[in-house]
Amino acid sequence: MAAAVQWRSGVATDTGLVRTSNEDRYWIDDDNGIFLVVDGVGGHPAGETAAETAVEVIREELQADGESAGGEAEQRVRRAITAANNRIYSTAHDSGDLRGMACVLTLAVVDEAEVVIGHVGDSRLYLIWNGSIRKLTSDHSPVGEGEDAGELTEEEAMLHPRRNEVFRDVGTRPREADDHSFIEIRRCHFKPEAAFLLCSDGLSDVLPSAAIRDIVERYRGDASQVARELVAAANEAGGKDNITALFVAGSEFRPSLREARARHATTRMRAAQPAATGALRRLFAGRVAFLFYGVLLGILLATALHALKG
Amino acid sequence: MAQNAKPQQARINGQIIIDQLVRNMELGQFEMGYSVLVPCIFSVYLHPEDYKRLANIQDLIKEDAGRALAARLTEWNAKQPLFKRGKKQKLYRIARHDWWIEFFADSEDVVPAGDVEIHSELNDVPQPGYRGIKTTLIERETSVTEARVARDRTMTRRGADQIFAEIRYEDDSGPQSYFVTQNEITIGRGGHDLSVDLPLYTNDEVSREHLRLRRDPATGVFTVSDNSRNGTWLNGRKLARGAEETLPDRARIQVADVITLSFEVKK
Repeated sequence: MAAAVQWRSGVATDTGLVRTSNEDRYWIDDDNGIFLVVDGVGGHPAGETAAETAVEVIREELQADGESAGGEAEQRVRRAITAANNRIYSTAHDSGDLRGMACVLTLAVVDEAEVVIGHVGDSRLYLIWNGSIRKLTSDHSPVGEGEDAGELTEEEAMLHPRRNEVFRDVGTRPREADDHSFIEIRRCHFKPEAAFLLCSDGLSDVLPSAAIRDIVERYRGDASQVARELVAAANEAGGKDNITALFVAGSEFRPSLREARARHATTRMRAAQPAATGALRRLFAGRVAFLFYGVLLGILLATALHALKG
Repeated sequence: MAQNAKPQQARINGQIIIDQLVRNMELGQFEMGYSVLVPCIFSVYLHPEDYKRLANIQDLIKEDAGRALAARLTEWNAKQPLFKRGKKQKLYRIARHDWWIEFFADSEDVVPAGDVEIHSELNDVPQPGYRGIKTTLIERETSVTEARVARDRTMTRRGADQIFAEIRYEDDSGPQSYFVTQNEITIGRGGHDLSVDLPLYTNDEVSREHLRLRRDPATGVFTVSDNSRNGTWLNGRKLARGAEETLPDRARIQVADVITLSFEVKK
């Protein structure tokens, strides 16, 4: 898969502070420009098995495609996700323990100067460019639809009790590759000065996009560091779910100097003060100085008393 | 501090920066019931020349500053109030595990050589549901930065409670939809030092702030004004630069020769 831009990628994942197992999985293939985040659904161990199956099948499909250089990127993405769906479904069908297992996922494939995105569920892909952040994927959930339609604010959606419900997933029923109600496909130009973030809902449910942007814009060339900082911030915000952040920065992605937004405290030093001021203040107003004043006062009083008696 | 001090060319050094960080932490105290939070995220702005001069020792300054801030915190926590023995002292603490200090070259020409301007925050992770404005404590002369702070404050306060209009368009990131929830929005390519409300992901034929929409809160009527190099067209007719024109409830606004915005008032 040819790429017209260069990038750096990094990923971090964590169980979070509440769950006992991590059902998120990811896959990065920098050589071919493939990035995948999967969030397992169905509890331990079914969610993990579904997520692992998705990574395995999508890897097989896309690598097989690479060898035979088959077809358009969009078709390859559709085929890979559909194959993962059908494998998860059949595995669950054959096994009593794994019945109902599924996952949601976001897959991004670099295709020359574009990124082709295949997406099912409520994981997300953000585009960060020129100091702004935007979500490119829809959330396939009742709450996500409300947010995308402007009926709920980002914060209301984040706090919504039905936040975790999705109405599209990978694995609960057989699908065809050309089923347009299944995979959402988007194409986005990959500008060298842009960056992409793929994440599971464990990140986006606790960090508003502005907070994500602020962390991403601390990027100084180490994409893994950004991913780790995002995961750490999600944990600090409660870590309610498994968290995965996969960050891909174009070769010319530069952080914005947006630090002038409202700050808790802003101070400004104007030209250095004379260094003597501090030292003099300490000399006349420090603790030792007060001790000295006390002793001096005592001597004066004693002298005065002595003089009076005399 | 130095509002009254006559500005003079002074060479900035690490000690000055660290002293100012500690002072900023002192001023930024946020008292609560049982503890006092202090800022732990600091953006330090220096004159570009100073920034360049200190570029390769920034990490060392950060390390030293972190130690100084931690030491001051320990000092505060060790102190007992002189006349309130027995009274439980509030714990001074920070919201993160560690300090975050970053240096920036001032690009707005507001920090003279030898000066340092520090912006700090208590924490960088707003909790879900948080939509308020952070307290902004400014103890310095008025500058462009203060205006930006005021603007950001307005933006943070904005609530998506009512949708006045919807704008549909397609840029290099694919089809998009934007809800107008303010009485004034700026549209353009934006930039690192110029934030627009509706950023278009596109090429530089679109100006950084290309056009502006205004809504009269009394009548609900929108107007559009062009502010660009390559022009804006309203339903096929080119707008005069700078002039404000009334926008019909449904309109096609062409941005340069690049993007078409489908505007529709929501009632």
